[in-house]
Amino acid sequence: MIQIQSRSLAVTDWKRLALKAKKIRRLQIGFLIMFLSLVSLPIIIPYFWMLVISFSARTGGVESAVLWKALSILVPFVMVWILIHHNLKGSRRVFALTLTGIIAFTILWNLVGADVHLNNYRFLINANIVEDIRGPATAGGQFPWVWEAFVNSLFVATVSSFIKVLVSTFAGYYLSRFSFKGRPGFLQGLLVIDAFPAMILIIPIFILIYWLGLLDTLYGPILVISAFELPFFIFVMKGFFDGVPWDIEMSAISDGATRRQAFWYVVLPQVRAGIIAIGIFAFIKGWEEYVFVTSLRTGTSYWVMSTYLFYVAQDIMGVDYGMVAAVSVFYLIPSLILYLFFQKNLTQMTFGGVKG
Amino acid sequence: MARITLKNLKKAWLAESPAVDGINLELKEGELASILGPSGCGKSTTLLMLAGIYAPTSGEILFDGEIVNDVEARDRNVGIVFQSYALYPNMSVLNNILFPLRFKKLPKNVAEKEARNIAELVMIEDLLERRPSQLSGGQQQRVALARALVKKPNLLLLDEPLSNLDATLRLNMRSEIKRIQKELEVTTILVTHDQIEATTMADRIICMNKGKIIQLGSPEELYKKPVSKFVASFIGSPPMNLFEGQNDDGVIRAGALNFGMKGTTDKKNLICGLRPENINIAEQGIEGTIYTIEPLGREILYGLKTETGIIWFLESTSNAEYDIGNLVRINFDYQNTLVFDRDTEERLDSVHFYVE
Ligand SMILES: Nc1ncnc2c1ncn2[C@@H]1O[C@H](COP(=O)(O)OP(=O)(O)OP(=O)(O)O)[C@@H](O)[C@H]1O
Ligand SMILES: [Mg+2]
Repeated sequence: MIQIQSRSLAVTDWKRLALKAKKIRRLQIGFLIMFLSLVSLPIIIPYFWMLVISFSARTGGVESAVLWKALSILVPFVMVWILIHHNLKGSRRVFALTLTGIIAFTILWNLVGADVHLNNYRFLINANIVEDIRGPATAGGQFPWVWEAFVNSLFVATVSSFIKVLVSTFAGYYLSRFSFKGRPGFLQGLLVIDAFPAMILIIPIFILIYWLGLLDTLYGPILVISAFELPFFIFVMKGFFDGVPWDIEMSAISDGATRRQAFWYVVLPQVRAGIIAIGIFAFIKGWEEYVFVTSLRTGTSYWVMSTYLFYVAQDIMGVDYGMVAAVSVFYLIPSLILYLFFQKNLTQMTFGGVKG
Repeated sequence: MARITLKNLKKAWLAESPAVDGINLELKEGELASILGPSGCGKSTTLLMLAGIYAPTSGEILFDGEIVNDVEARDRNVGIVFQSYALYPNMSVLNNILFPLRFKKLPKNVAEKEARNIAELVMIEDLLERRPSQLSGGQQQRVALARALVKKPNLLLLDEPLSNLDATLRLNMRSEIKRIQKELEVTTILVTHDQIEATTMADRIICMNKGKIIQLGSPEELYKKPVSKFVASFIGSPPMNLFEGQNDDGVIRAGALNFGMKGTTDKKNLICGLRPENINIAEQGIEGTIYTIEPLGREILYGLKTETGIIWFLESTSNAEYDIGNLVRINFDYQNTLVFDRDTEERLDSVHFYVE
């Protein structure tokens, strides 16, 4: 046995094997990056195009020359960026990245700089954009300033996400911790409700909201979307609470806390990630809400961002694609900020107690 | 620092199989008692009833002679160390220890001073700013102990506190807990299923099985006079040799071997118990061949193949050592032997056996 071992040792060229493994790993990473880039291009390009159009369209028509010019600089730039990021370290990396950044920006500016302008964003400061475009005595007057729609959307998103977070946190805790008659049925019910499309109830809901006198107010859609999305959020929160060990709560109670104090001081901090996550999802859902805000208003009693965008995209404006793109970018920004701000919380959803 | 009494304490989640089935117990002030028993025998349930987290189905719990059944868990002033330690992951070590004091309305500086004192006692004064997740298992255990002790509890409950630690640390913590317990003179119940832990630490051992107390007494009592086969096989390491025998008018026939019987019994079916440490190599006695050898450091555990099966015995390393296959004879003092009724598994008092 010893002989066999020493013989095989003698013929093994470890260095060559290591080199081979390294080469294969490099190749794999290269392929992976290429694959991911290819797959994500169809997703990224439309967004990018929207951005480009919003800053460059002049005639109202679609401008694609700028897009291709910009892409021809940016795609190689991103590739080089990734390469540098992989192969250099420390101050050399910072230096190389800054340098390529400056070079790319200079080329880009010389190529398309002349086409870039902010005219499509004039809706942000012009309170009556319709009359501005189509002359006085047109549809203007009922079409609001964008900030009004913005504030309304913010209101819908904030209030509905607040309701959703509050209710689903308490309901999730209760469902996770207390046993009561009909609990399994309740849990199944939550899932079943979520399986039906909300639209099938649109007529009864309309009538209900009418009876409640909430038609043509923002509270109608707020209540309806909160109610429809709650089952899912309750289920998610229940899962988070299930992950908090019982021991910790028992320990807090025998340390002198009341059940409520134990919940507040010990359990809640551990589902913080969950609360942030559902808060963001709930906010984005409310922010992008279109179906119920349009179906629960008669006429133009209130405007939110989604209806604003819709009407801008309709011929009321004579279809100015530059402005549609600009409104879209503006519409996107809050979600983007929210996501960037809480990105860590969304991706690092660790929870639960410490185990020895 | 209270006297604890349990009267016919019972907990039944399912009516047909109670987890705790009528426990009677009296603990003196400052006593360290240990509950020893197999998994699922109701040890944790008993502790949690004492802490007030589970309500007993029936029976009474008394602290210093007063019934506390209806006293809320948070008012009982009981310190628990859970098996998982149940530290609050969102708080620093110092805040973990301060948590129980938060509800005692102590001035902040007094509370902090007490927390630091206790931290010093369990030797974690350098770790106070860390999070529980940044501690080793042994350190977490000390924090849990400090948190349980800082409120000067009436009763300290330790639920398998050492089971997550490595062998050396366990040995250390064993004497450490005992030292702290004696220093503070706090009445303590230690749950364990490690009999060495129980016998080395406890003043008294409560041996439980299937929700009932099988035997209660000093470690020595349980070792020398176990009431049943269950206790006898649970206490002692390595475990006791047990072999079935037939009572034939004062002669016990165990397989092909015959033993003489001291004392009398009219029971026919018996079980003979013989501890490995009570057996010696001798000129006269049971003959067998060495079958297995397990060096245990100072002693060697031999398995001897005899006509009744394998008999385990311990020999000091300083004596002559034997090899597998050696032919030896063993003998024992009849006073160290135990005889059980095979049907009830109870020990038959003052019945012994010897090699004829
Ligand atoms: N919350 C509960 N609901 C229903 N049954 C339970 C509950 N807690 C414990 N039991 C049952 O009660 C019995 C005793 O459990 P207990 O936790 O007291 O065991 P234990 O002696 O602490 O065991 P271990 O050494 O494994 O911790 C077990 O059969 C268990 O299944
Ligand atoms: Mg247990």
